[in-house]
This record gives sequence, structure tokens and C-alpha cells, in this order.
Amino acid sequence: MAFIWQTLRMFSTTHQSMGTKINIQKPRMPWIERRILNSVTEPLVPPDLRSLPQKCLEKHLIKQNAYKSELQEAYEAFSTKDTFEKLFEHKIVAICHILPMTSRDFFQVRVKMHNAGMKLKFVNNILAKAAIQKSKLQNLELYLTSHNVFILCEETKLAQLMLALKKTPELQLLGGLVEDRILSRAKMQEAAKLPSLDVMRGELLTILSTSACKTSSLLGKHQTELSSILTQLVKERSIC
Amino acid sequence: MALLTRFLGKEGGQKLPELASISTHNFITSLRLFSVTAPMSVIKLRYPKNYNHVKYPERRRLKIIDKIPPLDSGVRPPKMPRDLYTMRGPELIHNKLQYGDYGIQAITGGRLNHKQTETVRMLVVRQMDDRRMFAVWRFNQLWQSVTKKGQGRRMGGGKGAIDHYVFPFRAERILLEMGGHCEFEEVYPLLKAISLALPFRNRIVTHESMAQREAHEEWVEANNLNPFTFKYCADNNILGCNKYLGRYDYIWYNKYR
Repeated sequence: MAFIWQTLRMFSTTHQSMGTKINIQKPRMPWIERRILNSVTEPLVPPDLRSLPQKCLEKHLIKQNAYKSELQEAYEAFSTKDTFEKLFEHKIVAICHILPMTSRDFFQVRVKMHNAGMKLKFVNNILAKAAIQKSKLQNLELYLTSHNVFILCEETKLAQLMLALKKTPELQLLGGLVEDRILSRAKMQEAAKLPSLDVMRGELLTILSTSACKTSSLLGKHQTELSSILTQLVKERSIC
Repeated sequence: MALLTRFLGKEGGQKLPELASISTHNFITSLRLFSVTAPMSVIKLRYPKNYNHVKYPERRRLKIIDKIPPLDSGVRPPKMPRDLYTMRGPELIHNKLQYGDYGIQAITGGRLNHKQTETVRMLVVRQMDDRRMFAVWRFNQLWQSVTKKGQGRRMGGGKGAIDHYVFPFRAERILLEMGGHCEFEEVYPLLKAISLALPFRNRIVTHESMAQREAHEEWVEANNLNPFTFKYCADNNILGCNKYLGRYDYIWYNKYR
């Protein structure tokens, strides 16, 4: 019955054919009865009965997933490998704690290091730790905390490094890698004080040759002296 | 209560999921440009998007919509009636994205005049990179003439002279489309500026957002706990509403004016 009325209403010739003038662009508020009808017929959706932590978690997860990417693992693998290669191809890799300073002061520090033949490099701690994880340099993890900087040098210029660091109080040496050996701060200072390789080689040769030298000199002495030395040796042997 | 319940439910919280990362991402990257102590993963890496579907139109920049539409020569420009029905109800044909991936959709019916089209065009010309993006109007001309009598004139003396031309449209019409080798985050600021410049209520749409809106509407209809829908009330004369409901209320059921 209602359907018939509606169709008659729509196609009625007696009813006002134009209808009321509709205001599309600046719609006025409908009168109270219409407003009541509009609010009563609003769709009522089942309420969200989850606990507040659960609702907050959903929003948090959406934000978290927005940051995640499908290439993250591949990128991390590449970046760890890259940092490892780039850092540890150097002969000296010293890790220093860096104190806060202005960029102007930092520039001066960088200049000092450059004059000593050193390079400064910042590496993310988590990245560096991941890079050295499964390698022989695992024990460097101790130094990879807080604000630090890597000092790199392609030649073994440990004495120059120590001298440069003495002049820069903003860089506090923690330890590092010198020619495939992990050295602490004290060890590095000791190693820096050592003379050059050639001098050390000479010293070693002299040490090795002193014992041989002594016996050869003894054997080369005059007969009388040699016999007296030998009789003395026999006496000592018999007493023992 | 009614307003609150509208926002509860399954997809109440999400407005534009495509932009979940945009709001905080740029702020974070500006703070932590490089940090030795911060966690590593701040960049979101993605595979390069596939743009094989992109077809550029002849003209990448937005066309100038003429103030006066091309008229037949030797014919007096016709004065037209108001024809407010052309703004009434839903748009059934031009309500989908055809040329690009992103667009502006009107929520209510209305009219566009030359000033508004020029504002939009200037925004697009300034902010769009036409080497890899394009923008396209979804209508040709401001075809409807609007007459006005002089200020302070008395009633009578015939219809007024043509003052300007407009383009009337219905609700849910797509007015502007953008596309190209660009992502939504690149295009969003420009579309937002256009959206604010237009005098009627409108929304920024993508294929995904339109699909999501449809799904949400279906879900609301399926899970509506209120037995008194407008359709039920209109058909059964609840609250004596037949007295004041018009013919279109029985067609559109309060969804469109």
C-alpha cells in the first residue's frame, strides 16, 4: 500500500511538479522534525569493546608497519658488510670517545688529524656491532658504546697518532685495532713508545748474536787462557 | 551519541592509510640526520614502483578553462535557466578515476566558476613537476550561463544579462585527476591545497581510498544495529515523516539532497 502511494506521489500530476526549491550550495539547517528523523536514522555500528591498550596497540602497529620495508634485511646485510670492509682495510683503527663540541671546534680537530695523516669516521654503534659480530674482531664491541669516532690510518703511524691525540683533549682514546691486533689504550701507548721496526730488528740480531759472540771470542783467545778457562769449567762441573 | 557511533567500529580510526608514515617520518628524519647512538632503521626502503600503466595525455599541464565557452558564431549567447537539478543527486557516470591515479572528488553538488578554475590551475602550474606528472580536468567548459540584474534594479523588465559562466556538477563527481611517475606522498600536498581552495566540500581520492570507502559503506550497512534506517522510516511513515519527505527522499534516502 505504501509503495503504491509513493509511486503515485512521484508521478502525480496534481502534486507540485517542481517540488520545493532545493538549496545545494548553501544548505540551511532542516527544521526540528526533520532533524529528529535524521538523527534517529543514523547507522548504529557495534561499539569497539576492546580494551584501551589493545586499541592503542592497533594504531601503534599501523605506524610501525608504515616504517618497515621489504628491503630492510637486504639493506642491513649490505650495510654491515660494507662498513666492515671499509673500516678494517685500514692498518690502524682507533676508537675514541668524542666529547661534545661545536662544529667549529670539531673542524679544528679534523684538521689536526688530517695533518697527522689520520681520517675521522662516524659509524652507527649498532651497525658496527653487527658488522664485527661473527668475525675475529668481536672483542672490539667493548669500545662501541656512547658517542665515539673511528680514527683510521692506512699506514702504521702509531706514534704520530698518539702525538695528535695528546694535543686533542676532546678525543679520548679507548682502544683499537693495530695490524690485526686488538689493543687497549695502555697497550697502544706502549706500542707507540717502541722504536721503529728496523731498530728493533737490529736489536734482536744483536741479542741473538751476543751468546754466539761470547763463545766465539772465548774460543779465539790465547791457548794458555783457553786451557785455564777449561780447567776452571771442569772444577765447577765436578763440584756440582 | 549518533556522531560518536559513526566513528567507532572497524575502520573508524584510519583516514588515509597511505599517509601513515608521512606525518611523523619527515619530522624524525629532520631531527636525526645522523646519529652514532640511534637505532639504524629510520629509512623506509621500497622496491621501485611499477609505472607501466601510466599513459600521459597530450598536454601534461592543466588546460586553461575559458571564461566564456566557445559559442556558435552569429548566435546570441543563450541565457539559461538556473537548472538546479543539475547539481542535485549523485553523479552516476563521472564518479571514477579514468586517466590518473589520484583525484579530487566532490562530496556535495555545486558549481565551479572561472575564478576557482584559475586558482586551481595556478596551484598546479606552480607545484607540479610536469616532467613526470600530469594533471587533467574532468570537464571541458563552463557551459552554463548565469544572469544577473544590475545592483539596485527593480523587479521586472525581462531576464538579466549574462554575468558569468559556471560548470554545475553533482555529488561524487571527479573534477580533477593527477597521475604519472609519482607517488601519493608527492602529490598529496598539492591536492590538499586544491581541496582547500575549492568552495565546496571535497575529498582527495585514490583507487585504494575509493575501494576502502565502498567496503566501509557495505560493512556499515551489514552491521547496522539500528533497525530504523531512513529507508524503513520513509517506507513505513515512522514519526509521520511522509508529511514532509519529498520525492527524492524516497529515491536517495537522505544520502543526497
